[in-house]
Amino acid sequence: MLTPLKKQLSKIVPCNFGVIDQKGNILISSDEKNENILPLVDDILSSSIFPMETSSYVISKIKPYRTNIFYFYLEKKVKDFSLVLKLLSVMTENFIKSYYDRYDRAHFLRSVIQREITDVNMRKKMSSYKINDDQQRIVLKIKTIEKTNHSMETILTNLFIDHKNNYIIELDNCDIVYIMEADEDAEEMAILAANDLIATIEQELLIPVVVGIGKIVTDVGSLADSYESANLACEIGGIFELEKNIFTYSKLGIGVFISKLQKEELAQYLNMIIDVKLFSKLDEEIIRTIQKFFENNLNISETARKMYLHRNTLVYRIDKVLKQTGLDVRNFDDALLFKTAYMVKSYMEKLNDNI
Amino acid sequence: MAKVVVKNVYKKYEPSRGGITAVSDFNLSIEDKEFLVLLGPSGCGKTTTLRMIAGLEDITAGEIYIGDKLVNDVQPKDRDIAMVFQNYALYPHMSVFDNMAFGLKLRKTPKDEIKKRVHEAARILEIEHLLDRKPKALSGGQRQRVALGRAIVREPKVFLMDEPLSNLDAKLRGQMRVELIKLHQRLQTTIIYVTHDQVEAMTMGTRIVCMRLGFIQQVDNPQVMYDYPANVYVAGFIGTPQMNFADAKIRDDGKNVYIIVGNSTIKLPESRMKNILGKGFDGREVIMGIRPEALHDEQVYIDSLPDSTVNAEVEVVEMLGPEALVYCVVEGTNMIARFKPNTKARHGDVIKVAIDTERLHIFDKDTEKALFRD
Ligand SMILES: Nc1ncnc2c1ncn2[C@@H]1O[C@H](COP(=O)(O)OP(=O)(O)O)[C@@H](O)[C@H]1O
Ligand SMILES: [Mg+2]
Repeated sequence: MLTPLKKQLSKIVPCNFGVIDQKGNILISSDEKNENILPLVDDILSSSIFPMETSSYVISKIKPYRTNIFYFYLEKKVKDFSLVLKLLSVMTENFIKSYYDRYDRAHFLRSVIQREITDVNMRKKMSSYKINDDQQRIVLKIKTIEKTNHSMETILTNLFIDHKNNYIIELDNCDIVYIMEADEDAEEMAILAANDLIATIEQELLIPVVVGIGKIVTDVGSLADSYESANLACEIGGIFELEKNIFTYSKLGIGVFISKLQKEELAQYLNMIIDVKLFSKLDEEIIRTIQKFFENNLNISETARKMYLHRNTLVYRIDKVLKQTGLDVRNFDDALLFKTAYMVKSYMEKLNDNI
Repeated sequence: MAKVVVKNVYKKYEPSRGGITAVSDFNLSIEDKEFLVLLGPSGCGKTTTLRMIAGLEDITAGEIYIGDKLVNDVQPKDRDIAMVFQNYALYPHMSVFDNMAFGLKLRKTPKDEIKKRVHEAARILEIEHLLDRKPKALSGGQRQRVALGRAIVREPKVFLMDEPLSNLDAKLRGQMRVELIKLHQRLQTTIIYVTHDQVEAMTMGTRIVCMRLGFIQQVDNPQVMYDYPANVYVAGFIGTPQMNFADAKIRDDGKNVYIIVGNSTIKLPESRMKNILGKGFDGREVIMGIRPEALHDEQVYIDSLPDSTVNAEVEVVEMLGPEALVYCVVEGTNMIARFKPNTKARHGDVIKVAIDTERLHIFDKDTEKALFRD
């Protein structure tokens, strides 16, 4: 966590320096081998007088955060080393403090999205952390199958480093939540971010990820809703929106209702709108074609072009669907029925998969 | 550096995800150091194939080998591959050096090694002078190179690239195409490259795999694929403007083979006859294919190809500078001819057009397969 600090200080401090934590771990050090400071660590931890001075070092004690204690050491090779030590200690203290503040805020938001905090407590913490309640936000859930030892979090932190008011939260399983502030075009911004993070994670770590984008919310208390909708999008998005790795809650449409129905209800509904046997007989080529036809907003020319099909072939396939199912997917109403039936059927498959 | 072998690979997505068989019986042996292009329209299974080779997608059946090792059960990160996508993002606060080094740091590569690899990659990409810059201070092309650099520093045996240029504007895309060809020469590594753009495929690939609906249609080097397409689909997909097609019929009089299209009879030359003559094709319905540049309006051709000269009604003449595209109707079929820019053809004319029969294609009407392939 202190590496950026070390980078900054290395540029200005001409002699050895470093930070030790209260357990005696050397967190950063300008001298990789630490040969001069290691023998002093025990003395530092047990000393009661600060700044402490040895033959070659001065050491200060910092308490940036709650009960955590750190020590800053500086080689006495600079002029006015006492003053320099004081200045560097203040810098370090601020650095650590802001790190923990951010960490605390993330911790707080994590309890908010998981509904593990009372309203009263939430209000209190919001004001102490200076988190603005009146702000549009959107939650992204990043789902993967593998534990990555914080690599994923590190990547996201560095990727979105410019967005100081956004938070990256690691959950207990392998998943990560990204809370974004976004005023205009929140969903588009979220999709852009999702594209960037998927490409980066897949390229750097070679693990597949999917992202669920939750609903846009306008206050901190509703973040849990946004998180839940992002979760739902992750869960069922793949059933209703094929070949994507970004699933947006607002695009799930009737998928949300379908996912709330019981199996029996689904079967009943399916029977009501369509002859299931005929429907199941449609071959893959037809299904594939109709999917693309829907993706291209029922535009025959566009679909034919994208699939590199002759227009007549496409029309022929659409007619075949009409013959087999009685649905003319060129018409909006029939297209809707077909799509719904298809969604219900896929969802039922999913339920079967899970048993 | 490695060979990649894909054996009888299938991919069927789960029923709850549409249940589509995205890739069927894919068989291919990709040579070490090859620049192999997977080409085909949207949805034909290119990305799925690439992700299966990477291990980012499970395979339903079959085997994949990278450098002699069966990798079916090997994690992507242990497959010695690197991916490059059309999307990429750079870490905004990091220098170019750190952007390239970051992945290696995550994998705990020793510092000296990182330094060596990043400098080597930067040298190959000719961005050594940019190593201290932040992404903000780079041009689009330079950023794309940094993204490539990230893949290069992994020193993979195989690069897997999924339409890496498709987000770029036309000019930059053209430049990067050349860059990638150079890069391949310098890296001396196997590259598997996915695109739907036949120009990219033709210019970059040492071999092209043309796909359709999850099936391989043809695997050949670009020129062979252009000159001898295996079927109507490949013939139409490769080349712009597209190959012209017309329904036709074969006549075999025992000595010669003729193609009858409308009221015209075209005599086939020796080279195009050999798989047809005396093989029982007389009367067979076929699809005739002619590339726009195999049509000629110059007198020398018309004089020397009397057996394959037809009439054409000119509809539109598009002057393009180095050439003219002439839209015309030949025996009731719309065709495009690529003539010299000094063509005299004008809208409304009926002109004589000589067909270069050495470059005529004939496909079976039912199977759409080429009747002859050398
Ligand atoms: N994750 C997925 N889930 C279900 N179906 C998919 C998925 N990805 C792709 N497909 C389907 O597989 C087929 C091939 O897709 P893809 O490999 O992405 O093709 P291409 O890259 O050539 O455009 C398409 O019909 C597509 O709908
Ligand atoms: Mg693709």
